[in-house]
Amino acid sequence: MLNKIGWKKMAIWLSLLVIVLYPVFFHSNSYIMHIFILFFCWAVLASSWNLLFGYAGIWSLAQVGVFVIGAYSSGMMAKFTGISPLICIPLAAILTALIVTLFVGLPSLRLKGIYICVFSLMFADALPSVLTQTRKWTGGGRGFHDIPPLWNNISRVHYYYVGFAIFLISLFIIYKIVNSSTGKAFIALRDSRDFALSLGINEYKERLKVFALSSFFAGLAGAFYGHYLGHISPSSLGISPFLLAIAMMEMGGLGRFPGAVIGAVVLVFGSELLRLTGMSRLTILGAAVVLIMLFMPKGLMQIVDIIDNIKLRKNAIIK
Amino acid sequence: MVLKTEGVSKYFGDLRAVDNVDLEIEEGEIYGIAGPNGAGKTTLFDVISGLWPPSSGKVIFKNDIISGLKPYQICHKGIARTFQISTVFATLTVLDNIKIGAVFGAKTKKLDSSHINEIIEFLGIQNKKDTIAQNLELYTIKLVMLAAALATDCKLLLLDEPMAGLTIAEIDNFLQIIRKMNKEWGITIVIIEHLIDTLIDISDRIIILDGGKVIYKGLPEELTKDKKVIEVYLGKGEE
Ligand SMILES: Nc1ncnc2c1ncn2[C@@H]1O[C@H](COP(=O)(O)OP(=O)(O)OP(=O)(O)O)[C@@H](O)[C@H]1O
Ligand SMILES: [Mg+2]
Repeated sequence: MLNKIGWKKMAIWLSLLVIVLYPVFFHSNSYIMHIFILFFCWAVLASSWNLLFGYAGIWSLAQVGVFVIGAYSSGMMAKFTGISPLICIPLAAILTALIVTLFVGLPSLRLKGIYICVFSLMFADALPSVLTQTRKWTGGGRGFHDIPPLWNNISRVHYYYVGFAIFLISLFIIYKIVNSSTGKAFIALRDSRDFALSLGINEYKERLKVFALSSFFAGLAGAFYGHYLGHISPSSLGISPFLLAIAMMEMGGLGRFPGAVIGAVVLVFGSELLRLTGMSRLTILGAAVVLIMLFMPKGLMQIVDIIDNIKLRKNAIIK
Repeated sequence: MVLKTEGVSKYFGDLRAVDNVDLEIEEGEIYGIAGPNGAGKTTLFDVISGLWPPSSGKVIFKNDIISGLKPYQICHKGIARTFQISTVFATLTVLDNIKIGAVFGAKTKKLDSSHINEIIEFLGIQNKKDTIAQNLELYTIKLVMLAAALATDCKLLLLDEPMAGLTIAEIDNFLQIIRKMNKEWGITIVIIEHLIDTLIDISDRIIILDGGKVIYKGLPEELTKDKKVIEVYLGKGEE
């Protein structure tokens, strides 16, 4: 019976159940809820990056920048126009997708590998100075403050469930994408470009698609994040969010679903746990990342593969 | 005539990898290409399939000029190819590899699973359908590469040394496959092959390239008597 449902499905449903029920039972502990909300944002960000970096093999390093663009767009839209943030968030995600596809996707069509790293870093690196130049509207280096909340008198539980909804919808769609023929085309171009081209894949079209899709989800997560915190500043463009997101993606398993989510679980909750126990957080986290990458070069998704293999063998013996 | 090249050249800097090549390939034939290493055979395929635009000259497919088109557009016209260095999509299953050809390469955008099954059965890889391609051995990799190319519904198929590295039994099997694709499915085939006896055996016509130039063009039977071919290719001790 248990075997039939599959342990992976069980694990997923169980985790979702825990997430859904958590606020019901621990309504008073809003600190953990806060960590969950951050986790939703990180997980979507890392998964969107994985779509571009892991699945399509396009080594863009600008994804945290994309997230921040989403946060600024939605925040400014809501604050200056008075439109409800619930409308601004999806609009900002679309706007982010447009901006990134236009300014990173299009120019990098002819670039490969390491050149995309360099180009996308230049783009991300330019963002703080763009913010400084537009200080009048964006608040410059001091950040953009008083971003309107999703609605008046919103409680943390509400943020929790909206964040969870965004997380669920985003991951569901990303899952659908990577298993669709579009997702297969991304993988095909990554695995063997010339073969993919000769089989009729339009490289430019697919690359623009993956830029648009991955920046849509990063922008969506960023937009929600901005409204939740109420402010966003260029410090989000610094090195540590960047390293954290890349570690989530790599640690979970590049080009695997839901690798980046598992990476986000480990890093977000692990980091909080270490903070609570007062241990030297960054050292331990850094060491954990290095160890995992050393012994599981394909990331934590390798554990899933190992369990699958054991099950396969067991079944073979029973038969 | 299916495919024609008019004075096609491809230069890499000063190197004339393909140098003023004129070909006329008839519908339904098996067209053999041979020549020493570095003769420009693969580069010629790269130009025809659009991976490189020619430095000069024209490629004409069924009365359309296709040189200058993108690889995917050329694929949609009905030209497919395999690669000398066996390549598949390593992390996809065999079935997904083939589906890529069917979904993206075929003109009918609808996925025709009966056609895919026909190809899979024809090549005898039914029991490998769900294997991840990186776990396959060489011969099956070559068959999967061929299957994906066939799934595009091609009219012209370019095979770049498909039999390199195969055992004698596998070569026999592959030759049968080539004949069948040609006779029963009506696919015109251009094949690069180093084993000259095999090539003579299977081809209707043969050209020999050397230094990017065509040095022989004609019937297979007369190839081994041609002085120039003996000198530059067959020469030094029979192979
Ligand atoms: N991308 C490239 N850049 C520069 N030179 C190249 C490139 N590709 C091929 N060449 C050169 O072009 C010439 C023709 O190469 P090609 O691969 O077409 O030969 P070939 O006839 O297929 O040889 P082989 O029998 O070894 O496969 C060679 O001298 C090769 O070094
Ligand atoms: Mg070659």
